[in-house]
Amino acid sequence: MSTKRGRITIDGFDADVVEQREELSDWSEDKDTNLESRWRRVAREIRRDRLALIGGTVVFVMLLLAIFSQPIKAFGVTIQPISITPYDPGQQFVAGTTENYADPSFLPWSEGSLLDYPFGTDTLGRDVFSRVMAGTRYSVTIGLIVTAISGTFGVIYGGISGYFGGKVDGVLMRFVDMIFAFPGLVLAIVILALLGKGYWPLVLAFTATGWAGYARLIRGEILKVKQNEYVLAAKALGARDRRVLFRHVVPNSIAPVIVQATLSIGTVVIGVAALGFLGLGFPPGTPEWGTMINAEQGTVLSARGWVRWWVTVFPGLMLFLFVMAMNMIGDAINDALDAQGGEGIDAAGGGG
Amino acid sequence: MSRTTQPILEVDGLKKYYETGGSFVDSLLGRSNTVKAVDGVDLTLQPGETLGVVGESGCGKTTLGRALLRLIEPTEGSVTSRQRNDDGTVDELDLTELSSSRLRDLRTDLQYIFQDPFSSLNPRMTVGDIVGEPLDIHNIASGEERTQRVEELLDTVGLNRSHAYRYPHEFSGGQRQRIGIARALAVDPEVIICDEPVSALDVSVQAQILNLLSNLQEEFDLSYIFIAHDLSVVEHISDRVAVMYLGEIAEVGTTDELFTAPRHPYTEALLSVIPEPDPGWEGNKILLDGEVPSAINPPSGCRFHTRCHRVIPPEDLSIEQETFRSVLTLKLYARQAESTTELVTLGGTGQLQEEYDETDPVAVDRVIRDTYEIPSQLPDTTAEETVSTSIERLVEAEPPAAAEKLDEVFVSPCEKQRPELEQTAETQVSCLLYTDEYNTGQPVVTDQTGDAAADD
Repeated sequence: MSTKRGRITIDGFDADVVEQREELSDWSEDKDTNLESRWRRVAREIRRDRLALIGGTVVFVMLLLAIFSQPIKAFGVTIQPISITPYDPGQQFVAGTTENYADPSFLPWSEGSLLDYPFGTDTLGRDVFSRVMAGTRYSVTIGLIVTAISGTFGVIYGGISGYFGGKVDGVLMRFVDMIFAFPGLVLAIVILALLGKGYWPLVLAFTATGWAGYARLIRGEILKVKQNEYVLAAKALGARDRRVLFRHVVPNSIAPVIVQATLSIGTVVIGVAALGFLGLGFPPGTPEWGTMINAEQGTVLSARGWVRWWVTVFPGLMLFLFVMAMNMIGDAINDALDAQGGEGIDAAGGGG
Repeated sequence: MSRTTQPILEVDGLKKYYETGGSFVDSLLGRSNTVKAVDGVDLTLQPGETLGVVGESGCGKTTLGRALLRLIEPTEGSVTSRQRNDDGTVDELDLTELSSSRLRDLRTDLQYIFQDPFSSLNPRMTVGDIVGEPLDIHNIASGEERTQRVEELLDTVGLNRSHAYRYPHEFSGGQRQRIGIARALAVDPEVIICDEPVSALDVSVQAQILNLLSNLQEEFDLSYIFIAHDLSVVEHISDRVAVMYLGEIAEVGTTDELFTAPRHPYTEALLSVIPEPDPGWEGNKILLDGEVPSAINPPSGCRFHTRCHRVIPPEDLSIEQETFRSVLTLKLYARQAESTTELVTLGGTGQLQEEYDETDPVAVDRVIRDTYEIPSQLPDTTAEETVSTSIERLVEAEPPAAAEKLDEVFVSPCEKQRPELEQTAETQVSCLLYTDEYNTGQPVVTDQTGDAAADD
């Protein structure tokens, strides 16, 4: 035995030998069959999902209806001349006279074929089919616009809060807590009471309560993501905070927000309909689904009102269809984003 | 390595303290503690050299590296960077005082390579974007030029040009680390701080990355600060080595000097436990007692005195150094122990103690002396008296009372005096043994010879 070191030397750093012995990985160009970005992979997952496909089709058709149901005018110039509704949604007594409609036993189909008024006509003789088609323009777009605005604002707000942390976070999040302290629908009613009825007041009312959820959601996610070394690496490269936040932190924490946003489009549409039903959303006579149901609740509740069941069933069905479709899409997106759990090393993706 | 040139990076008294229990109420009630992660570090980095920084886990290596570049704000101290202009003049900049926009510009000269190649690359960006990001940030190149530069960089670090369009998760650890290196190189830096760049990699890949780093150093005239805990890696790549202990520099010297004749007892202990491939080698490993003390309340004086095998006995005691070490260990443990049993377990030599009567002074005396390897009779009368009295106190009272008694006599100068980093014949050492007052004139002699040259 000896205490002298170095009697046997091992040259452990002869990397040439290692390099000649094996490749850096078993990857080669030929193996590269399935290279795709995250969003393309998510899109593929969703396309595979039958339910999502049905939901997507429904939403797509409704969007087409929103665009083509009535001509669109901007500043007096018609930019979309097509009108596919059989009647103007505001035109009254399409299937009879005032006297006809005063008679509770009058049915619209007595004046023409079923195809002329497939969903019947309402108390004022307006064509329900035309009206629910035109209604997409209110309900569907409001859901999308509210979610887009509140999502964007919430992500920026929560992003700043989570990224900078400390006192900034404390102050910003207390404000979010304040928003949460109000029941959402009540706050929306207050805003509508202040601003009056209409499309944009409704958008504002729902955005004002909706953004806080996104802010809180992404903040939590960012607190986790900002610990990653690539955030520090970006700072070490001299990146400004704005760049670090929106190029590195937010893209890695956005997934739950996207799921939440898709699911909440339906919630917003329901909320708008609820306010409409309470008579708070749009001016009476607007072919918005909730408002239509509100206008006809007297009919349904009156004696023999059930005979004219179609006046409330079809707007309600449209609501149901849209929200259901949106939720199916939301679930599919959730699954697709979840499925790639371990940063997307799937069977075809290589890695190693 | 020419020592006459001006250092490219000069660290002076760098400190980084953290507050624990950071809430407002905590600080109001004075409940917060200060963690002294880095406590007054002085270093210099010469142009073109590699400075290794070694130390145990938690000694502040990474904090030092990050505070150097102000990735975390240092609490105190200065980091001077010297940049040579084209006309030969030298710009001196204190990093700690720069505005954030000036600091951003300076990031083109000082770069960082991260330890974990799996978390240091953004999984949502392609390799091309990762490597090209510094080019965008500093407006170095755009469009066709950018693509070309990215591909060049990938070439330089031994990756395929087509890899620019892939995502990080498609690469192995070693390849990812190459991507990280390419990103650091993109801005054409002068200094790169490598924070344990190979510790997350397989040994065979480690060698490749180390060789890549040395080749790049030659090619681009880089200076490295190489943080690692693997001594053989540091020995392989460094020109000079700094040994860190609990946020302070224990010893700095050239690799040859430090590995052949370590001065600081801590360095000595670290080097003595490097594995040796010789089955006939029995070595003289110096195994340190206990754990690294907490950085919240670092030991007074020399931070290493709690574990140092060469701790200096006070002059007025005529006892062996080894005995003094044993008594000192007993004292340090007694300070925190809550019962005699705990004291015996803490200082345990691994052997089970036979049953003993905790109320019997004679039995406790025997057990304690056994456990801490203190002779049953100390040659110095004062010493013997103090030890026996303090053990008696163990029976009557709590261990801290015994520690108090021991504190009256057994106090090492190492506990009271904080050593400065001083130049010895070979290395710079922060140890009282090498000051004029305590210098025995004898360098710490070990038989490490031959080891340093072994791998070269």
